[in-house]
Amino acid sequence: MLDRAAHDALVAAVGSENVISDPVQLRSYECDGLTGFRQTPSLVVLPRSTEDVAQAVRACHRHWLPFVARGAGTGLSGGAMPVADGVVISLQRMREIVHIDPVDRRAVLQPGVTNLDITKAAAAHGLYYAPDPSSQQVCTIGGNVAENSGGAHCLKYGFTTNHVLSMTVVLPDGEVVTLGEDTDEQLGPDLRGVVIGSEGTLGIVCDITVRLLRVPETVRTLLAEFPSVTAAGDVVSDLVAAGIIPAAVEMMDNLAIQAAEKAVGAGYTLTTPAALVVELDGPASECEAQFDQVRTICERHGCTRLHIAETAAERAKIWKGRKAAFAAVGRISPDYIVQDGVVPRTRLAEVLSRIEDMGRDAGLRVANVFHAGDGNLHPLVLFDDDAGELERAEQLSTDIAELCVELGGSLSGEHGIGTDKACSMPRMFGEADLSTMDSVRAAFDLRRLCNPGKLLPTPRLCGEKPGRYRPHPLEEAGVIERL
Amino acid sequence: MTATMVTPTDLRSACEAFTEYRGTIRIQGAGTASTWAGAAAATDTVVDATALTGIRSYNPADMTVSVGAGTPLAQLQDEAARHGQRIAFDAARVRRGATVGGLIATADSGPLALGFGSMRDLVIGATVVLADGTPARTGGHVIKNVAGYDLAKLMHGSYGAFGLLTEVVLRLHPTPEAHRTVALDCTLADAAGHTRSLLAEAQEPVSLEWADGTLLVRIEGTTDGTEARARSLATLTGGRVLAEDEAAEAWERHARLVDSATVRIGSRPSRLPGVLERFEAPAAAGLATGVATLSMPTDRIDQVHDAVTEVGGTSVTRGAADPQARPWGRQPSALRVLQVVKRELDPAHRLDSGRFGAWFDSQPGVSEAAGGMAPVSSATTQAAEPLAQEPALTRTPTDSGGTAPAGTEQEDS
Ligand SMILES: Cc1cc2nc3c(=O)[nH]c(=O)nc-3n(C[C@H](O)[C@H](O)[C@H](O)COP(=O)(O)OP(=O)(O)OC[C@H]3O[C@@H](n4cnc5c(N)ncnc54)[C@H](O)[C@@H]3O)c2cc1C
Repeated sequence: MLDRAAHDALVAAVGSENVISDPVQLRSYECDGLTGFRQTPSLVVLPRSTEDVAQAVRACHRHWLPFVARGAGTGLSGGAMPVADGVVISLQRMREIVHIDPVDRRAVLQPGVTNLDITKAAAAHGLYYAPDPSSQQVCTIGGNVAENSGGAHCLKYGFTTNHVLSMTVVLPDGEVVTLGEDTDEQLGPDLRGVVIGSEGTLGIVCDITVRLLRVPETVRTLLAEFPSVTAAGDVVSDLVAAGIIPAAVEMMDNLAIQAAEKAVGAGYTLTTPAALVVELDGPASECEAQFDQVRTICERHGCTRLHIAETAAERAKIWKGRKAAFAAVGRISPDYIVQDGVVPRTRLAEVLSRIEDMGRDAGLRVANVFHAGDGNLHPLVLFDDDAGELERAEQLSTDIAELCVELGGSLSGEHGIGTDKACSMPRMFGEADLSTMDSVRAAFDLRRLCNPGKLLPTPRLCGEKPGRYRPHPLEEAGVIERL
Repeated sequence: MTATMVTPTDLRSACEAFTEYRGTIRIQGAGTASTWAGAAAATDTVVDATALTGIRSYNPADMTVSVGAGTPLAQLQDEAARHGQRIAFDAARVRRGATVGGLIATADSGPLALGFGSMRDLVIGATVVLADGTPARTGGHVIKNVAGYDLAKLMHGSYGAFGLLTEVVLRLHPTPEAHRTVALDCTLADAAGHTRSLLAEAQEPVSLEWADGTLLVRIEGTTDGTEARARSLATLTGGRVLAEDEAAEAWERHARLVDSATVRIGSRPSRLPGVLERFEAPAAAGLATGVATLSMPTDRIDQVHDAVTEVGGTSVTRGAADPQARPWGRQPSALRVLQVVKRELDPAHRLDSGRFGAWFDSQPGVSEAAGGMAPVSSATTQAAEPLAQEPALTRTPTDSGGTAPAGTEQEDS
């Protein structure tokens, strides 16, 4: 419960019509896409302007109230999960596309604008916004900035951080600043880049200026099926060796294919062990030549079926199968956990076979869908909560993320650390690394009110001694060093 | 008093350079930008980064490389080229031996920035030694990675004020099979017009620069593809496709122009020609990126600063300027945050920040927290900035529902 003064201050900040305090309604804010972690907030405020946000944050600061920014709540690491006795600042009423500038190819957006709406608004000018998380119909640009979201096309086009020019940020003490400039030239260190991907812990991002790209002249998409995951992986390696950077290369294993087919019937062969979706885009003269190369490489690795999308509808169908894969897994298992880890691409085969072994040992099935081009895995751990498998599934999922680190990769490629993986951070970073990050956090938020308990491990969350730091494999090999 | 010169060769000796030598420190790379952005102050110690060299790990199939931050980028490019790869980065001073760390610390970039961004977009991990000798890592060895704060961004443009980069992990790109440059002699105004129509086409130039009377457009890709695209761009603009040696010469001339500049500016692309037209100075202008360098006599640099500031742009002096010239056009909006970050990472203000003029002179009260090892919980006295005015925190649980200062130590209470 909030005390009266704090409650009144927040109501004064945004107006009573923009406050939710009804216990039943508050419940709908208790978690994000990671539904296993829940906490009902004390109050939800829905500001309508940057000034409202600043007033709300100032009220929290004055009354020492922890607060959590929230976009669409599609985050998969518990980043938008409320804090006990804290306030949720929802950006859902700030959904205006402030400006589309076709000449300088940029858009100014309020934080609650959905990712897909940017591209829709830009389309009239032959432009689009490149980062395209699979959740793009609902997730917000503010959430994308907070998570540095990627998408299927980030192999070629990069992540949110490569596409945001500047943003207005309400700092945790309520001061409003602009980070970033009208070009990539900055005045001194790039604080914009620090805040992007900081998971809502360094302030609340309001107006955001993003770069728009010209729609490519051609897009070519194919679906290729293979006798093994290894064969499909070899195709990816050969594409890279041939100097081809596809717009996207996505891989699915048999379990994921079965699930997707059951859900949307995208035309994948049910029994195929592995499938690749490869997309090339760019000037027509470049695309066609490379597309032929892709076909040759697929055939060289024993491709059992090659389906080239001839129309926009066929292309959409191929993507529908891929994009449906997460949710579709619900069709073949009562419950599942989505994991997100990264390995150097050359270790894909190794990590997949180890995941298979780990799944067998745990007595659980794991479906794999991943952004193969950049080694970003999304293993889906299938389980049955009613059969008491939850704990085992969570352990397996955590072990998979930590395995990625062990193989020289990362705990997260796009879903973030949030609440979910904060306690795994010491597997990837040493004490000095984490305390340096914490110093930066302190510089922004000395009172520790802004999305506390997320991203960095805390004794409360992880026990007195969060897991021991394990030397990076390159460190063990003497390639990199640490004192 | 002359400064003590320390030249670490590995991470350990880099840390020792900070713990074993007392007093103030300046970090120095190959010296190719030693007079950029104002004058460095005289310090007790100078840490020379140029012996932190060599490739630490390079697996071409992963398209990532880890190098000592003192490695000249040109040297790294040679190695990558042997594997058909490159760092997609071509700032002019790479030719003069600039180091990877120095290029990051000065936020430099070249014509390829249109297609590939600047170093900030290519760095995927880094090791930094802080002012108290603490080695801190950020990022990792994979291209896609969102674990933890991206502190490499904080080092980008930090001019040595936040720490010493010792190792950097970069992403690589395949060397394109072919490239072509289309050139057109024209005025700046005409070049701006052509830029608009070029960008409306889907030919995807990787560089587009107006270099003192000539518009240069570079495209990359397959042999046949670039040939066809170059021809269509030449037709569109009335320019011509340069032969390979001509193209190399044209870009070399561009680089020389950049090297001899006194000031670098950035603005919204459409506003750039208007700013440049006010000064009759030799200029190299990225008309699609909004970034330009110009050679103005020192006594007129202030006018450039003012003109750029007027249109909301950025400006900073470059090598050929008099070191006494005002280095920056304006301060960043979040200077206060930068000051507090500086205090957190370098509480004793050992690392020279002279390149930022007076930005860090009004340091908030010196914190007791050692070298950014712990969150500041000490009582900072008489701080100038609001962020530094926090009292010592009383850490009490929040569940009382009272108004007492609460909700901190337990983070997620
Ligand atoms: C089916 C599905 C598919 C997905 N696919 C992808 C994918 O392909 N790629 C990918 O990267 N992610 C993906 N995600 C994850 C998620 O959609 C992204 O992380 C997205 O960016 C979250 O946006 P949101 O608006 O839902 O943010 P929320 O979940 O509401 O919040 C996420 C975090 O951002 C913070 N935040 C939100 N708004 C702001 C703001 N204005 N200022 C400061 N902090 C803020 C929150 O505090 C929280 O920490 C997927 C999720 C689902 C459910």
